[in-house]
Amino acid sequence: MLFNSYIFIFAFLPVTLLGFYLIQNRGHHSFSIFWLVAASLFFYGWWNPAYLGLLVFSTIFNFIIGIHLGKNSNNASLNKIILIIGVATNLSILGYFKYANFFIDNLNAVTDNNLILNEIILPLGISFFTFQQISYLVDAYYNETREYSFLHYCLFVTFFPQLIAGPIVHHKEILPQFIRTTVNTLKSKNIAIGLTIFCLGLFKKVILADGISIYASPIFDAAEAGVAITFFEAWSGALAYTFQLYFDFSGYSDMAIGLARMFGIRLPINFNSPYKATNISDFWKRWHITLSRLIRDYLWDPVSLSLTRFAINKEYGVIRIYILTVIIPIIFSFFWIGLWHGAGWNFIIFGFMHGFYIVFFNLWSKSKAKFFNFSIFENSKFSLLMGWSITFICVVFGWVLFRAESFEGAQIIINAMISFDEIVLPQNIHMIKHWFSNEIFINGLYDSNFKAAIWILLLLFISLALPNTLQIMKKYKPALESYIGEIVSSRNNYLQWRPIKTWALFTAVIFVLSILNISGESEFLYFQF
Amino acid sequence: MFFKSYLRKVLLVSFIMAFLIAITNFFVDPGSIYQKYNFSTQNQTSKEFVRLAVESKYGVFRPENIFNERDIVREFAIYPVNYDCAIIGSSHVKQMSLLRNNKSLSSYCKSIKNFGVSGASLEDYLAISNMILNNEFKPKKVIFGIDLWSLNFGRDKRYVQYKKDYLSMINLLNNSENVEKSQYKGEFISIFFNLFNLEYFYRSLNEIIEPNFSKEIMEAPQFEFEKGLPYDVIMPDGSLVYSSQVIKEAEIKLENLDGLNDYKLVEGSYFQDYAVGFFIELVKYLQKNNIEVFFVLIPYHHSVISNESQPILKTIDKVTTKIYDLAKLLQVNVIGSYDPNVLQCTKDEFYDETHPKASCLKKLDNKIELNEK
Repeated sequence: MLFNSYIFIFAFLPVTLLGFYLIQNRGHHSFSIFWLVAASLFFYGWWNPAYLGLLVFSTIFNFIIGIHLGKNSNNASLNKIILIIGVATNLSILGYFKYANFFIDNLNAVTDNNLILNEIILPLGISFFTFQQISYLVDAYYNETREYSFLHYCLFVTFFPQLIAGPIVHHKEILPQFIRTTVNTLKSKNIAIGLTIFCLGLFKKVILADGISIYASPIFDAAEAGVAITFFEAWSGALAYTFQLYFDFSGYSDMAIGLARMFGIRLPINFNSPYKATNISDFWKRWHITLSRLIRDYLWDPVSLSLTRFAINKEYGVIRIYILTVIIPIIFSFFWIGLWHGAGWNFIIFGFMHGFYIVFFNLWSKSKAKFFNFSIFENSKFSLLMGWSITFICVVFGWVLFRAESFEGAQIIINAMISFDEIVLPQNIHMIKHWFSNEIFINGLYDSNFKAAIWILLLLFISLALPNTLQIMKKYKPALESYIGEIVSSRNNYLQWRPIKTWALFTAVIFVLSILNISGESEFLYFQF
Repeated sequence: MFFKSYLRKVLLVSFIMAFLIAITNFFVDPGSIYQKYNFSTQNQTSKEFVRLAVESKYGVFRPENIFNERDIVREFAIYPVNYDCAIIGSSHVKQMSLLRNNKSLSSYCKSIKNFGVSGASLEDYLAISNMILNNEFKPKKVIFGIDLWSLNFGRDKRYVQYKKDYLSMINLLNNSENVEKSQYKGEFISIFFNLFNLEYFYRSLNEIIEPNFSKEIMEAPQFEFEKGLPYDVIMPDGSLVYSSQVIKEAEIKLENLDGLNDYKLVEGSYFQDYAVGFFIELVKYLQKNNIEVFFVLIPYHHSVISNESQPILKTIDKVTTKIYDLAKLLQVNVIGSYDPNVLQCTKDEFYDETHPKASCLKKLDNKIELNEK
């Protein structure tokens, strides 16, 4: 079931919400949690009931492991073994469903064999609920978890707003909310705030992301088919995908945050205007924040810490310490970020690419003060503009690898994007009359369709000049912030949401427009991860 | 308090907007989907359209968005007139005619009725076959234009316009009423939700702001088929002549075709066994009714065939093999080829990648695979 489907909006959501509040109002808190778990499992099973078994197994297995880790906190060696079994089982399941075919394909290529594995269907959201539970096990090992009830734990894993595509929630921030009984009574405030955030997300997904997607797909499909692509076509395809991905994924996150809020639950912030970032490190603090946070806390920190200890013990020099404690942990973390997104070399290269971006940025930041101490590099507008431009271009190149179905396809587009000597202006200018037609393929890929350019400029404006959903809703604490002040409220008073007539009208209009546009359901891009 | 009032306003405005849009879509109904329910006289008009087309000398204009082409085909199928060949297929066969200078299948047919509809699916084949069999004037031959997606169910939903005929034929062939009716239920929901379709609403608004052409049905004057008239023309045999604008635009398009085509194709899924089973039953049923069946393969443009990197070539290969197997099994003649070189069609004898001109269709007879009894 998709958030942007009639069945979800007009049947599943109202029934689940009504049932939840009716049960809550009669004072049956545990039963209301059970109701939410049942609804979430129904939501997950709607797609393919066969997936349910795995989710249920994973939840029960990790809960039992978590209990054992808590019980044996005095026995460090036993606990370590339990943790290893728990993490290894999770990773094995994920590895089998997500990476087995990739592994076999590469093995075949290297050994010249022809091993064939039956087609494995990737369970939805497996990366999300697996990593969420691994982090829970690690915290249980360090005795940082409380003894939660099985029902609450089930809801922590399966809560439908965040089950399929995040935000990746941490037990410390979400489980206490389930336990509190007072927040879950029917509050028109929660419904109003949640509904508005949901509508904004739905609009971003259905109107903006789906609207621009038709300009990205033909270019990438053509590249996969080996068709030669011009400079402009490559850039328009890459930029169209850049905005498609952002509005799709952030729209989804907004919907998830809005839905959870309707039930009185606040999810963590996942996007914070990432295309406003003026350096690559800033970008990763704004893009898929909950994944970055998870990787930082459970991968980067431990690896960096152990390598630091190792380097100090060995009494290495400055350069070797820098390589061991900064470069290797960064590259290693980004390798996993790449692989987390998908089983393909393009995802791995995407990860490495961003890892190297971060390393270069780190080197630049360190050397700037020492070797390039010019006023131009101070916090001037020019410096910020330069920083933004470089960051944005780097990100766009990264998305090409992310979107392309094969490395060869990505190569064709990237080559065209940097082939400055082959810039060809649109031919057959007489086709200008087709500016506003829907013909994408009239002459070449884009010659006669400037709608793509208009879309790109419009979405660039929205991404850069307008506040994001959470900034608009800032006054009402729409999401959990990673640190105080993460969401900065909009300076423009008109762009701050209040429960007034104008905003009601605006919300209704974007809701109806989105509903009207749900003629063909399109899957969220991030579901595949 | 503020929040309750806010929620009420959001819901009220949303409801009013959605209601107005649904009402507009229902009554303006630019695609003639709701004509059965909205008391419009469109049904009568489709009948009148077909009567005038059949009785006309050079056909009638078919302005865009006024008539649902499947309604026209239904009326055309039940219109009582003697004819030799029924042509059933997609827009790829819609140019086939014996009334033009470039006659198609003239060595097989003395007269034809062309039942081509856009994106025709297997469901269309079944429904149209049911219609023509229920007419007292039955054809002697039925010619199926087989497209690359034809041996699959569910590749196009528009057949729901004549769902009763489809269900009736399905029941006749396999008595699987329950399965198919549950499929229809899904279609009904789609039709309902189409009331809230933004694109349909744009078309409705367009229809209100700029009423399309005239609702009067107009006969076409004598004209050159290669140049067309300001609107599409439906010829007395049901075939289509594109408008002059489409023909002109096609000339420009033709210069830069990239050959990419995946219309209705699903990679790795070439034909469904149960769909093939229904198709075999359909052909056998027609044969049992003393109707000779032919399969026709309409050529793709050279740019499609020569673009070796795209998956359509594999589909062509797989589907062609299957069609020849079926033809042998059912003892059916296969006319034409997906390869334009086999038929000796030239590159300019096409409107685009998939629609050959009548001059190319005339050459279909160049390739015949006989499987006669």
